[in-house]
Amino acid sequence: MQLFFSALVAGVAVGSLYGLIGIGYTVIFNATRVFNLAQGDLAMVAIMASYFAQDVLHWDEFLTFITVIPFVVLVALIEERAVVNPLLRRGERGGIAWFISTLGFSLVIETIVSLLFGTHAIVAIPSPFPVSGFNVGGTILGYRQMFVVGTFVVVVVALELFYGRTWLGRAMRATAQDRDASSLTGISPSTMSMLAFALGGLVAAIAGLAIAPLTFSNPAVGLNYTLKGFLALAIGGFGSIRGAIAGALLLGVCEQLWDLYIGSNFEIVAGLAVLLAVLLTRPEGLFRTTVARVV
Amino acid sequence: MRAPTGSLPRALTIERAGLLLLLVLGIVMPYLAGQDIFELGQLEYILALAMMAAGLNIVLGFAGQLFLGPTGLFGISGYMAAYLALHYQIAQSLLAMCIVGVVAALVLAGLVALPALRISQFYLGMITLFLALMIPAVFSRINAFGASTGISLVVSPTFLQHPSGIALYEVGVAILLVIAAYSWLIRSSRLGRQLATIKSDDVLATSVGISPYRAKLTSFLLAAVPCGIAGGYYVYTQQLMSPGSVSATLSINVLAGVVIGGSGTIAGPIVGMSLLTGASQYLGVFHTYQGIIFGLLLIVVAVAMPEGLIGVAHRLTDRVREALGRRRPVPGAPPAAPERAPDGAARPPRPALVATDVRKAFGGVQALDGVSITLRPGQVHAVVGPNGSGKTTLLNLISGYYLLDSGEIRIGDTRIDHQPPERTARAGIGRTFQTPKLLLNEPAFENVLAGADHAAGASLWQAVCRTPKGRAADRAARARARWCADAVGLRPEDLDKHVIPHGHQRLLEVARALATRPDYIFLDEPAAGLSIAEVAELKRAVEVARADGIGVLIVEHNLPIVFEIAEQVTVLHQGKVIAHGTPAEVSADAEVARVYLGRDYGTRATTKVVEPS
Repeated sequence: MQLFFSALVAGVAVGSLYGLIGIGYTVIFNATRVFNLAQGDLAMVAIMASYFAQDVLHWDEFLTFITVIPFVVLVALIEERAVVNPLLRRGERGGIAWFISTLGFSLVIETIVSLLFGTHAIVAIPSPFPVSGFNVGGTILGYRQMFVVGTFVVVVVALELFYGRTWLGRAMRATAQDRDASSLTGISPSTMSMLAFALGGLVAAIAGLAIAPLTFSNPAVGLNYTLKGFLALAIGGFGSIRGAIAGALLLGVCEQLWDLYIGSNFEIVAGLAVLLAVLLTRPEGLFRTTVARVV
Repeated sequence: MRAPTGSLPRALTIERAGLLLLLVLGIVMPYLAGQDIFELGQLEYILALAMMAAGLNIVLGFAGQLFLGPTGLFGISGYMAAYLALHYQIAQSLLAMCIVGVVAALVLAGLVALPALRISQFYLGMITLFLALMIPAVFSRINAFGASTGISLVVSPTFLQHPSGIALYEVGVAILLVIAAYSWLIRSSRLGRQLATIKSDDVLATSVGISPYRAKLTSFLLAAVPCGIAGGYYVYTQQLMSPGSVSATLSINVLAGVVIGGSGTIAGPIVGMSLLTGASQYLGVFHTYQGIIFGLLLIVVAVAMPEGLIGVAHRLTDRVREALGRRRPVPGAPPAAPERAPDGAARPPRPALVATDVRKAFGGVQALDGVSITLRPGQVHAVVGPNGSGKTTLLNLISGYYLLDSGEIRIGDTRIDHQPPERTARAGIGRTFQTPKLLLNEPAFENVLAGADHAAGASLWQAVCRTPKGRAADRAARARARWCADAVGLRPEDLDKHVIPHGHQRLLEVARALATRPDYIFLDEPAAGLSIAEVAELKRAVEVARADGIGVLIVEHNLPIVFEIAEQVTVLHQGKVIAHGTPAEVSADAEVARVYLGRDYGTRATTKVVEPS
């Protein structure tokens, strides 16, 4: 039972990481209808940049944070200008072009980072938190795990406030309902798309900074996070932040329980198994969103 | 050499030239690059990837489905072939390995596609990409498959390559050629046209009686065959299968090869994949920066040249032709229109279509509130009403796109409600859409042909394999399509065009609906945006359908047109029938006048009504 609760805690922590990636997708998708396949790689850039800043340049945490975050946002903006905006201007909606262009971009940044750092796993950066944690009835709640979960909660609350309370947030939400509505807010679709990518980059940077101290990483982890974030969204149901949270936590917990009871060798199968199980029973995900008109 | 499809010859002249060049280059390559084992191994690797690219192209290029994990199929094929070859001597021939590979790929493709195709494109892309990541990760943990080092056949004392050397390489070229022929047979048949409809729009596919789910599944299984052969050939030639053989990045590289070469064409993916792999093998710099170069090429193709290298080649040759003052050869001119509807005669009289007390609500809005309507064969029946009165909802309900809340719809004694739309279409209902839905990047004629195929009298396999029956069915479909296009007033030169003017789009849709040999056709605002001349063509088309005994249901705002062609008019208002009768009866109805003048004053329809004429 002890092990079960430990797995549960670890699952919530891992799920929070997936949730951070998933929310990054949602933020961009809602405003642009673009599914950014480079989202995991943006987080990977944040991981590598923070490693470089702390372990190579020996900067302190504060300096690392205030440098890495704008840097990743900048990369996201470059992506928007280079591979998304041209398609947006051509009036492309959905379809295959988005997948190909954002996938191409992710391949480019992954290769650049590999050339700079090599493909071997680099050590995790030192965490400001000790390895220990609270003992709650025999189950250890690690400080580092709690920090990740806390980050996730803060990001979710901040985004909910942004979307619900601020003018800009409401404008972005309106765009999600109807792209033409964005022009009514006085913000051009092009600007809206840039704002969305900036926000998505910000979330990816935070995700990367949260991951960096936890585990060994290499430039190839980007695709892994891209897919895990997607699984979280697909399990939870597309488009809603609440769905992303539920899907991410469920995915994280299932993976840890899979490790505990079935074995960590085939952990990668767990995610797909959960997704297929959910999709077979609820094709729209756990949190069903609106059904589009067909004709 | 006459090409069998109206659309393909232009593409084929360049593709044929490309394929021929590639074939010659492919055959002589070992004499240029060197014939030692290492060089041949590299060339054979290129062949294996090109086979995989041709497979991916079937699902991505022909059917437009986002399949991002071809290495998942390639990987399972390779592992199964290697495993069996290691343990059973009988499984050590090239043929056995390819068969094992195909079976393994088909099984995995089915397992993944069956659930994944039920949901949107999106999910499919990501799940298949995940598959590409998963296959090497899973096999690297299984000791029976050599864990992280993989399976090497070199250790098997009985494994001897036969054929080997250059012969083995040339066999690979032959296999690739067969795969190209396989792609071509699919692409230029009725099956290829079915895949083209789901590439454009699922709703369009259902309206001509194609089940999108079935067609997508078919495309997956068709794609699994070349991927499986690629896996078998890879293992046989490289004598090794390891997790490194099938990284997820390889899937992205294959995707790059397909889209850069020209997805949807026959030669493009093979050319693209061979060029990219060849470059990364023989150019050192290219290899180091492979990811960046592939990535940038992917971006350039997505942003600027969606048709890839083949598309660029087409545009160049067009330009050269223009400069030489020569016209582009007209794609295999559609057959001349027969005098009367082929196979139109001697059909049994059709029963009436009766909708009884139909109700449908969307959330709190009662879109249809107990509507009954009877359509009769050979009669033009118009449904009119202000915006939001439920006209299109009624049309969508009868043709199966929405489910009824209550009520029933029958043709004679057969209930047709609660059926998927493709079934309704097969039950004899053809339709058009408010916003025309047409095939992307296909000549106009292909659209009508897609409708005519619906009534074809041969199985898909007969069509693909070009059996006499399949060819006869194809000829009949062409003749019917030509007749229907002619009936709506489209001229032969209109049918070659890829870019179709708006008015013709509507007429094409009518022709497509007619081509399905329907008992009833539904026209959703067919006159919107048509010129006066085109409206005349439309009226003629409706008259042709009526004379052929087809019942026509028309939803239209333009009341003068309605009153001219309809024999029966039903007026809807807020989901209820407020008047029904002949045009004269309806236009004299006080309630109708009140609804139009009182609630909807200022719309085009209203001003038309009050115009003294």
